[in-house]
Amino acid sequence: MKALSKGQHRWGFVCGQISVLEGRLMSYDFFMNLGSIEKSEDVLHRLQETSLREFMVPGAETWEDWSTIIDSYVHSQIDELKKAAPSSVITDVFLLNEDYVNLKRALNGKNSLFPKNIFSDSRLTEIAGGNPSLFPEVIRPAISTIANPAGAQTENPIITDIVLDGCYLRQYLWLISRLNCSLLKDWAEFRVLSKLIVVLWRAVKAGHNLKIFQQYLLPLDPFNHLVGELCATTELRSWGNIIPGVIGDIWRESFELSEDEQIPKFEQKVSDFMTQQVKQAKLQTMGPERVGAFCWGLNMEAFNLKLIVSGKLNGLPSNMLKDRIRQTYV
Amino acid sequence: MDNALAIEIGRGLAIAGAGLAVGLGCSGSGKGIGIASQAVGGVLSEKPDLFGRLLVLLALPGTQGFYGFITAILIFVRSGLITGQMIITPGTGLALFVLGFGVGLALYFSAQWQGEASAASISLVARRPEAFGRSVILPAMVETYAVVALLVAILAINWLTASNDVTAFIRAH
Repeated sequence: MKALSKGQHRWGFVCGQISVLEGRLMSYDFFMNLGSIEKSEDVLHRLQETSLREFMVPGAETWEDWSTIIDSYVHSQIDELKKAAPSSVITDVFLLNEDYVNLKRALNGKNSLFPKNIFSDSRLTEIAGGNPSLFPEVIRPAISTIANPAGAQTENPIITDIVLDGCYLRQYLWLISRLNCSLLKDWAEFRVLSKLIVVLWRAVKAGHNLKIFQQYLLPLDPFNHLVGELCATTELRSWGNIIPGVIGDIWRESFELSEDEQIPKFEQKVSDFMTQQVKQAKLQTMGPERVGAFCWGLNMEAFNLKLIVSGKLNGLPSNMLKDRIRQTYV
Repeated sequence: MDNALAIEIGRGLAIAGAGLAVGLGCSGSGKGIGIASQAVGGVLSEKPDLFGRLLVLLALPGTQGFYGFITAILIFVRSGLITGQMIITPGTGLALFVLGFGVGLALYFSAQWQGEASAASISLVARRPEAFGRSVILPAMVETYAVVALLVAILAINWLTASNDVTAFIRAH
């Protein structure tokens, strides 16, 4: 297959590692089988036969224990790839959500939950003191609007969430644009658009005023106009005429479902489409897209693991769980 | 043209052709092995037990360097450089130069592409070690064209230098 990006030979080492690691990813059939197992102890026992085993700790029983195990499993693999890759940009994209959890905690005067990635200790300490000057230019102006001295309560927690969501998506697109890889750029824009739609959709369902979102979520080039249009439309059904392309088709399909199913099914269908899209990278021997695709595959694996573990621990029916299992990379 | 000058020009062109064949061949092999070794390094960091199999795939792009070396040695031997009886007409020298350059290019690009093919096969073996036998065939297909270039070089050098002796040259001039 033709190379999708320039300088792909520099990615040879990390892609060699990925060739091995891909063989350890869990398949869709594995998750379907796991979902069919009735007893939660049997599910946890079965997981000991997977690559998750080395992260398991004795006595892990609660959802929090398993969530931490799965997060460490994903983080350690992406972190290992980050060290081996010629550029950390693509792995940073997949660790960025952890950084934003830490950032949010720092803004509330709490300690970090995840290991540091892009936002170092000094940056988080500074933000806790109300100084956002160490943050990248792309998000600094927005962060400065919510930065308060340590422990001080923000005036409106919803606004803090919206600003952080906007910063996260902005930095996400900014990082991807530095890779100069069309496959990843298209894929990331698709992801950001789907995230935007979900944020606004949830806001409509919760009865929030969308003008606040337009004010604090933007700018998010190239979606500024689209977000403006969605925020200006009070009738949810007419979103179907505004949202473009495949994502618009998925939205219209999901909107026909029952109220409770709409957003989860939309997210599931979008992620399945994105997994399908990113599988093109498997045909590449080397390149950043291969690393990005693997990291996405790892995220999907983590999602399915969390879904099944939490479902089994809470006694949810197998059929319901199996219906929500997302497509896997392998 | 002066005989001595004609011999000098012929000799210079032939040696330059030999240099290009070996230079381009070795450069291509170096690059091909470099590409494959990056992938090997990554795989071995996770599965060190695959070293034996991966070494074969890693070594495949190295053959072009030897083909360039053989071409250069043949030019040296058949043109009389080694024996000291070096009589090359400007026409033969030019032909050997173009031949060396053409063979060198074929070796350079085939080694580079073989490195890419080897890296792809290394990925395949990393995922499915049992597919090693089939994976060797992929870069070996690229090797075919390096071998074709070497064969043409051997035949052409032999034919071009078949009547290459002192008396024939002096009689012709």
